[in-house]
Amino acid sequence: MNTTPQTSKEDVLHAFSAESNPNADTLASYLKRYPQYREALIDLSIELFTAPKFDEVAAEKVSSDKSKQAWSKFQSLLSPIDPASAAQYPMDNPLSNLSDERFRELASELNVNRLFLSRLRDCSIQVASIPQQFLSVVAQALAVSVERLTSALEAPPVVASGLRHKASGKPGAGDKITFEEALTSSALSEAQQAALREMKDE
Amino acid sequence: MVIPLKKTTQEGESYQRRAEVEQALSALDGLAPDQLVERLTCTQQAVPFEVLIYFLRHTELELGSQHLEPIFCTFYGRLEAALRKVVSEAWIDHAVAIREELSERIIEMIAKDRDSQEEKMYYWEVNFNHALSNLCTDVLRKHGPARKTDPLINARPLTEESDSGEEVSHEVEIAAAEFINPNPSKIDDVAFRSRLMNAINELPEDERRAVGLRWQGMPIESQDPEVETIAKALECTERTVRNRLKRAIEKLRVVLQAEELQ
Repeated sequence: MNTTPQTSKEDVLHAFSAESNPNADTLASYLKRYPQYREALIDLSIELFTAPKFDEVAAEKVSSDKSKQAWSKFQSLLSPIDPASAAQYPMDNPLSNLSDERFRELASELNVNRLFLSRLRDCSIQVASIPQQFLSVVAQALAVSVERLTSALEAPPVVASGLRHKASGKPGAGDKITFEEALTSSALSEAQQAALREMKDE
Repeated sequence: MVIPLKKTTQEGESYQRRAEVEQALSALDGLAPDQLVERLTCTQQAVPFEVLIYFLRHTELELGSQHLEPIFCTFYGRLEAALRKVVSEAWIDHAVAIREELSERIIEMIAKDRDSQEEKMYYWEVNFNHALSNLCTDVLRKHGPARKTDPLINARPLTEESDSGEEVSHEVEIAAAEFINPNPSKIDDVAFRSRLMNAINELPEDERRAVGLRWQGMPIESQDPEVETIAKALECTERTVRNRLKRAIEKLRVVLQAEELQ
């Protein structure tokens, strides 16, 4: 970093702590250039010089349970739009793991077509607008809890190429359609639409 | 492209990481996620901690959980080992709880940082050792002093301050030499170093600065006016520097001796 005599204290201290191998000579040259920050530089040099070199500690085998636990805790703290959040992991979406055949079967069990089920799988439908009864039926068919299904479907919509969507901000409601919109725009028959509407929460 | 630090200087220039960290990141830039994971989790040629922090905190890198998890677990394993050295049951009460608090805080900081536009953790990519030792110091301070049996707390000068400049000078040179060239296996040992670091930080300011500068190899005095000396840096006489060094070294010797016994 090029530093000038007018450089702020913060910038000078940063430059010093980013020096590859700060030693007495490095410190001496900084003290010459920035006598106004003398005490702060001296104190920083001592802190840096005495700080333990953690890279030299050999990693110990941490029990996989312990690191898994730490990972789960970390993952639970991530925002749902984070590419590493549980909601973003397609394996965690119970609808994404199905074979084509099972997917077709499920559509027929639920009395919907594959387009509608794909929209559900790709998280294109606002979860809050989906009737609880319908969610329960789907969860039961997939042998997962409603909570797990709900949290998987709350993820941002999956783009058509199969690549996960990376939003620059949190997705607004506009990114997803409502359950009613999905009913009317998925080429479902009138009878199928009527059956699904009956499940709506009152 | 390696993501530059968002923090900038007054002139708007990005803050730099240490050169070796920038080099390591450039070498890893552009690797496919699987290769990247293989490289970052390799225990034979461990990457600097700063590099792991870089991959853990930047969501822009778009690492999904299947790739981030092994990187995280490698980081976690190394962090646990490092914390076990600096927060040891041997000299700190409730060491296990304190270590847990530290690792939880770091994990939370990284998670928050991923979801934030702020650059709260940028310094962990610049100088991980300093960032972690600062955090350890803060947390240990919150938990109060180490054990009552801590030799530092019971430190007593081994000799009274001498009025004779000559005598002080000789003693200090011998003691300083011991500190500057101690047993290399000791000084490179993270646990010993962190103990000594804490001991130095507990010293009064004037003694801490004198011994800290001497330890870095700065001469106490010099005939050459161009050479930076401790006396010049601390704006005091060479005699004062020697007295401060003597007091500091006596206190630190107690710690060193206690370490030797363990």
